[in-house]
Amino acid sequence: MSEERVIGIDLGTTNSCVATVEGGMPKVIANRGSYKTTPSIVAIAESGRRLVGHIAKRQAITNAQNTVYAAKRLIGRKYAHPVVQQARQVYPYKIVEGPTGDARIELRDKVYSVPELSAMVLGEMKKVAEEYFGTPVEKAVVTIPAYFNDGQRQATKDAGKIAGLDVIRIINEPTAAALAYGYKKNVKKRVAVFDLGGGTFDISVLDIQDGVFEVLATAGDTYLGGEDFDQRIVEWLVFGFAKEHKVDLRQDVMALQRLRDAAEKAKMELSVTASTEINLPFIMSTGKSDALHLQRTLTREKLEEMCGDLVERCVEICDRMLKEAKIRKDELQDVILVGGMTRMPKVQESVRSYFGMEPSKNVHPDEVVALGAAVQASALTKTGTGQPDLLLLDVTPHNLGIMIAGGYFNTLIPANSTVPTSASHVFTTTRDDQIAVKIVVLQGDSEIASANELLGEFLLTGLPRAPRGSVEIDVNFDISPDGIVAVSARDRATGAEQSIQVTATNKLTEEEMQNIIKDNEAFAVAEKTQEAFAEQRTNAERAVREIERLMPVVRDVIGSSDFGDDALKKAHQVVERAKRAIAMQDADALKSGREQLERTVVMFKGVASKVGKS
Amino acid sequence: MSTTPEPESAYEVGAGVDITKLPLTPEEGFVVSRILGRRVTAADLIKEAVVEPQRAASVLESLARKGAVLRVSTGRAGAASGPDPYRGIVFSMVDLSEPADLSEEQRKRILFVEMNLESWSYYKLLGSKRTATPAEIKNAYFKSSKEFHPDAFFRKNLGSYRERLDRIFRAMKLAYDTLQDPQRRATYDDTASIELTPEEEAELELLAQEKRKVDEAKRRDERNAERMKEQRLKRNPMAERMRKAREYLELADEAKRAGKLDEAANHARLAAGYDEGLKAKVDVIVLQAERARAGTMMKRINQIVASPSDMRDMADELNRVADEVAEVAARANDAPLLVEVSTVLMKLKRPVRAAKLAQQAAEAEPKNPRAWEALAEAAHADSKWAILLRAADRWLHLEPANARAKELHKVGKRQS
Repeated sequence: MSEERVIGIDLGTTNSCVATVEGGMPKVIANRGSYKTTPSIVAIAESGRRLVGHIAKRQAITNAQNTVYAAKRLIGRKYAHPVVQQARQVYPYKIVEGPTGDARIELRDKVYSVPELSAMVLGEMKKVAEEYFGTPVEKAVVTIPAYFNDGQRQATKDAGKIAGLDVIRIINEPTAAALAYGYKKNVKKRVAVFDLGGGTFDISVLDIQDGVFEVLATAGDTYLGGEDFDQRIVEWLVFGFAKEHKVDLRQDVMALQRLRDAAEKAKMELSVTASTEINLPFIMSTGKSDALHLQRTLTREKLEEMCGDLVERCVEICDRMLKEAKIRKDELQDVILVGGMTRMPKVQESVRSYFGMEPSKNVHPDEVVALGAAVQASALTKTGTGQPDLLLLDVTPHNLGIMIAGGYFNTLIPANSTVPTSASHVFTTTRDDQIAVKIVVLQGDSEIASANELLGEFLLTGLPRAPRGSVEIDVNFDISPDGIVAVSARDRATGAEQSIQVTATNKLTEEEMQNIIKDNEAFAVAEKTQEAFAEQRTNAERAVREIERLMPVVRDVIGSSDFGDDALKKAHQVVERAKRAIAMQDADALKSGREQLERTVVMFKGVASKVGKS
Repeated sequence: MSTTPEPESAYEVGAGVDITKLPLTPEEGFVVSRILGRRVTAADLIKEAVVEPQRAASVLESLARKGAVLRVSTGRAGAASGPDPYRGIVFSMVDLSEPADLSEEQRKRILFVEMNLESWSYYKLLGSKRTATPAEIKNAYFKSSKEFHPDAFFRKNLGSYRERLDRIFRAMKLAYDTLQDPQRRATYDDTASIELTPEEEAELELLAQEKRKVDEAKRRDERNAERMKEQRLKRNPMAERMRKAREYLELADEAKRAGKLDEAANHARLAAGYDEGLKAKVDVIVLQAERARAGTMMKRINQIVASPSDMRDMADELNRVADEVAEVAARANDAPLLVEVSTVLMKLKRPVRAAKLAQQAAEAEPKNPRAWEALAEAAHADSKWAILLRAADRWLHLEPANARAKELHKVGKRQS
């Protein structure tokens, strides 16, 4: 009858980590090799065996084409996405287009979807935990970069499902780090989490107080991380080698893999030493009997020069986010560094100089995310009816909306809204006798629909034939605490409803998307502002009468006090506004004034009842 | 083990407890079935004969140990700790009994907040106040979130409460988002009516109290004024006399209704004595009484007059009584009575007085021949020929066949 075991998994770009809460404290679970992190690498051996983690990493050089690393950079992405196209140039494994336009990976003549490959890593972490507990584990919280969009979140959740995990929650990595940072420490602070990992960069600002973790704002870049630093070193080595030997090492998959490993190692060494030796003997055979060797010295200074712009990009993202969220740097009381890349002195220095304070050294940059995930998993599965002792109020990182007539993007849920959240809006047809509308759901920051990420589309058919503008369609958006989007649309008159869970399999190519947008002019919807005016007017008039009836009584009682004077003045304004709105037939003004009217009535009644004159 | 548990302990079946899965004895099972859905004390169970008094403690103890029931301090429950926050609210039994992993208190709280979503201001919704600092608002929001955020009910069976919680949390978010942004908060503050802060509430209570006091003082003043007026009247002797006069008049009316006319007259006279203003009313009553008396006296007179010896013997008394009746008759202007008295006076040889009374009778009832007859006889006896002639003339006119009238008319004509 022991408590159910729940785990938190940090599914990283380069390394993954699993943790659990034991005796009230989060704790990282080491794998069989007693390593606390496991490389997020999957390989298919010649025998067809699946290899995951350290074992996969060790054989990478000899089996580069069938070894997948950094799958996280591809998860939930369309094949046509520029990021995927760029990856095709860099990675030794073969990236192909899936049947729904998603990016897939071909290993030994078999095509794997990215969630399948991520699932292998998750499965490995699950196994690590099960070996530690000696019992099966099902429930897990999995972390993702905060700036992941819906498709990427959905795909990660799918990966969990494939791995046989019940992913009870997807949480953002910087948020998880903050959870571990503030858990049971009675922290009351505003902190920034600077998370530069293997593949992604996130910056989040949170208020932590009384066990509540409120994310105020988040921003990031899902394609900026340690991999990019490694890539710079690889390029430097490749170009240097080419200059010397007139040979492009990138043509040789095995050489490329060795370069990659050496680059990562050199980068890590330069975090503690000022210079390092990169020595790769027999990097390439020229076909004649002699082989080419690579031997170069890389200094920290050189590395910083090569990667300065990457660090600069991180700082720029921080700056933009703080400005947009209207948070001043001096309001921050701590900066937490997360992710292996934050060990780089240049990164630390940039953070120190930008935020004007020494970053916190209280958390382990590689483990803190998994620890936070475990904390959240434990909090969610806590039994009993009492209030939770830990609560996460996270936000959605992107604007969410639909495409409207003219190819514009109509935001319904703005970025940095606390999840779960929902919004609904009434749209209307743009043509006479339009019998179908296509709802195109997008996520992004641009006003132009096509510049944003397409999450999916769905068609609402069977609308009654009517003049344009007279058919009303309710579109409802919902973002779950996981940040996953569900959309439904309903014809107000017929009640015909369709809903979609926006899924990764709904992915479309850029070209297809452009086509959709073009075609959609025929199905476009427009914003609907007309309202049931009469009913609102009746209600408003009733409230106005009630307020006017009670006005003398209320004035008699509270007119002499400051707040009373204020309240009366306001009540007067509210009534005037309502009257004006009625006179002008202004439905919007009437709608926005309704609540105030109601509250005024309640307040007046309250005062009147105190003197027995209600 | 036969001691009953301390009275403040109450028991209820915990939310989400499946009692069918617990290893209970038949007795325990029965007791649990009686506790299900309510909160009871051991005393209640004993009173309802659910369990024997000496078994109550051990059975409840065992049930609590097996996790079937929760021991809750009744002191903690709403009733004892301050006023019931839901006073006057009737919750739907359907909502309260819907299967969901929520305590009754949680249900009530959720239903209560939900029904007030529209009427509460953002401040009240968050459990804050209008004058709260941004930090206080954040505090309030965090506290509310712990209570209403969906994660506080993660993977629980909530039934219809899921949607309610969703609505509540969404409203709280909107409230917080608005109040946290200085500009939006200012706009909201400027336009919305917001509940008073506790301090203002106290001030309002004070103002209302003052107002109530003023109102009450006004009413008291009015009542006092009335009482003062009464007292002033009481102290005024005139008023006192008038009051007495009214009292006597009432007594008189009463007596009159009872047929006691003399008594009525007496009271009436007393009334008139206290209040001159009542004279007219009093006179009516007195006259009525006197008339009645005169009637009786007339009977007596006629008895005396019937016997000549008696008439002689009692001439003095007869004269006095006749005068008395004559006076009443004159005052009452009662023609038949006047005629009767006039006739008696003629017999007593007092024609002058008889003529006077007959004259009055004739004036009162000019068409009454008896009046003219009496006047004619009196004038004849007194040798007033002119009067005789006129009276006889009127009499004859009314009774042309009357021989005595003709005779007296002739006498009158001759003498004048």
